[in-house]
Amino acid sequence: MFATMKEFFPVVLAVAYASLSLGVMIKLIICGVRGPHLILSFLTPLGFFIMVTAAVVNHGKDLRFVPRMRFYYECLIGLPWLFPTTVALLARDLTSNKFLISIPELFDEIFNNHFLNSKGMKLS
Amino acid sequence: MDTNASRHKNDDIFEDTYPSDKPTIFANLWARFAYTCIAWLILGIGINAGFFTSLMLFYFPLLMDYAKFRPDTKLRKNIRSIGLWTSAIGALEGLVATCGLMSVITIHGQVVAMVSKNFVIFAGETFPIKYIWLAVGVNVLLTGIDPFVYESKAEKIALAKVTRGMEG
Repeated sequence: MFATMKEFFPVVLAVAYASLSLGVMIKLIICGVRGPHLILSFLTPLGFFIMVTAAVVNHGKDLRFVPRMRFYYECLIGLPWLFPTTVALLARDLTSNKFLISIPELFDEIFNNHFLNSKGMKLS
Repeated sequence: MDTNASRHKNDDIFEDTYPSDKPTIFANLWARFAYTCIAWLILGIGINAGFFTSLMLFYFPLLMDYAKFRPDTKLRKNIRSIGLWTSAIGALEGLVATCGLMSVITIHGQVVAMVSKNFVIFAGETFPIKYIWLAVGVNVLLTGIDPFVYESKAEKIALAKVTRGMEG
């Protein structure tokens, strides 16, 4: 039996990650992605997490304490919703005939122009 | 009976009687995923005699959450049905176990669930409680899938904007 937090925390983390991966896979299938590209669904949650962390740290570092906390709070609430959008964009990129734009660029586009703009926090 | 007519009638009743509350930031699918993960983690910490009560308290709010909404796409309807039925079974299991059908005991340092000795079948049988805890993971999995299986308005706007930008 799982006796300590150390033993069953990895199980919870693994199930949470697997659930996000499955969600990404379903989204990719809905958006028309088929075949080996679907393997990407297992890397996408990690990739998104890295992109989000980098973007949030990069945009938040120049803010003063109170606006920074507000910014982090808005990100905590709003950024999970960019995940399905990013996956849909990734699917659009994978299903198009030519490679349109890189995923970090796509993310930067929706983070900067869509998310920050909608919150009135777009940085110059 | 005309199903559509009854559905419309129910919608009218809902609109007439329900307060015009607006959902807050916590009434979203990501928040549900987050608290389900945390609740599942807490459910596994220090399993004792109150495990089945905790199990019932885990499943009932989830069951109510599924019962409150009627998705409009086929995929979400299916996911909701699976979630609704698994939550109902889990809640029922917690309820009957709390009523005395099962108890939590420790045998050789291992925590197990034991069926009541007075029950008609499997009387006195034991099984590791971790299987029940792991089964709860199915519902955690479902709550994580839910936010991905529909296209939000914000997503449509962002997609259209980015696609226009990409096509120049």
